[in-house]
Amino acid sequence: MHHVIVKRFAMLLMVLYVISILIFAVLVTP
Amino acid sequence: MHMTVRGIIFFAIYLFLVTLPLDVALIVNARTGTLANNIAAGAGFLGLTLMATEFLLISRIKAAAQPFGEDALQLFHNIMGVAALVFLLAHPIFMIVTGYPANCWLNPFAGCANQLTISAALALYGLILLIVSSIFRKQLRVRYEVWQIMHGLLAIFILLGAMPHIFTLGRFSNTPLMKAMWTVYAVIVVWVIFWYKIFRPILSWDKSWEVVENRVERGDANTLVLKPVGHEGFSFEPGQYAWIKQGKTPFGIGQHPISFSSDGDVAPGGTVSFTVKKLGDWSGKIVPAIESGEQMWVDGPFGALSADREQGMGYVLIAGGIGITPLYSICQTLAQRGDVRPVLLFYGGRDYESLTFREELDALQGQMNLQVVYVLSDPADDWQGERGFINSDVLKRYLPKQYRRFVYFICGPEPLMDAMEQALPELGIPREKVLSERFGMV
Repeated sequence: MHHVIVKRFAMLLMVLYVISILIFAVLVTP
Repeated sequence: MHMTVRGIIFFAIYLFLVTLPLDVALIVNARTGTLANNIAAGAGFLGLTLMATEFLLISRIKAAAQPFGEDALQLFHNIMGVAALVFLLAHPIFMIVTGYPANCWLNPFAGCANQLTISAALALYGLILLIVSSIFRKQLRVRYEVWQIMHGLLAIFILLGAMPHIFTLGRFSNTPLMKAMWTVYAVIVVWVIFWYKIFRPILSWDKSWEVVENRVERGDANTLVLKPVGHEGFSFEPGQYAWIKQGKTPFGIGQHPISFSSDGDVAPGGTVSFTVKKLGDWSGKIVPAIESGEQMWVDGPFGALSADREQGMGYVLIAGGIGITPLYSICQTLAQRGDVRPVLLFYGGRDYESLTFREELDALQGQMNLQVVYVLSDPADDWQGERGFINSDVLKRYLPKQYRRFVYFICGPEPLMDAMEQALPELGIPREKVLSERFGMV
């Protein structure tokens, strides 16, 4: 598999993880 | 099952495992703390599950690795390791921002530190050491075998250090559901480590190999020819590799990923060959000294670089240096099968004398529909062939009209791989027709 694709995909996942953390934090904060 | 479907299923499982703690924490929803507190908690959960799933990515579970290729998984493992560090650093930073005493949490020697803060801090420092030693291993001149032990022990130390922290502290983790979930993660990690380090070696205990020849090749390389002892050995897809290890037992460290350099269609009990270039301590000192009769262990075959997976009306092989090894295996296998499809091999090297398998490739040109284009970066003055490095201009000079319907294999050093991964799509070659493997993956 192309390493460029792997790198881009990993970066996209990182962004999604950050968004998930922010959504989680907003939802559980009273 | 189709590779794409299998890849999607395994990725979905991976994503589920990484994000599950956030979902479970939402269910137990403590609904306390500030936004920064909860960002810290979320970052901690994600960082920890990224760390735990790192073991899965390199566990050599073939069914999971096949759709992606081990080198891609290894790269993904490397990037996710850094991501885990970023999230696990964010965890204490956001806690400290909201008023948690930095000294107590980050200084294991502080008076206010207790067993829980000390184990968490040491785990964090262990993770920093693990990532730094992995990224800068070559610059720090740490031997691969030493690094391999350190890497494994540090990873286990980090997870053990984090365990008391997550099981006893926190508004989310200190609930039965979260504790049950973390226990499942711990079981998965222990199972993967046992599978990788204990069960796999036990399963291969009666499948040792014996060196029948250690042949010196052009270009500072050695070919080890191995025969199976007391078992039938195996066939492999041309282009694949295996982890090989010297010694009396299959346990322990010292495994190296090496491409097969022989015909992939091996008869039962037949030999397989691996060609190793002198690049480091093991390949430069140990391998040349291996003698006939010595015992070896072969774990494989692995790798998605395979001529049997992607069929085209012809093949274009692009090799740099010792990256010729798997591509030479492809040529041999196609020749043995009597395959009449055209094969165009671009082979980059320093000079004509140092081209590994030069004579063998020249001989194969008479046995199959193979054309070899040597591209030399430092040739003799009387060299009539291509000079410099393999690039799109060189490719254009030799590619046949129907080149977009060929399958492309690339194996070589990083600069060649980067150049080709950019050049081939520019020539209109679909990405799915390009298979590559980076031999410097560890």
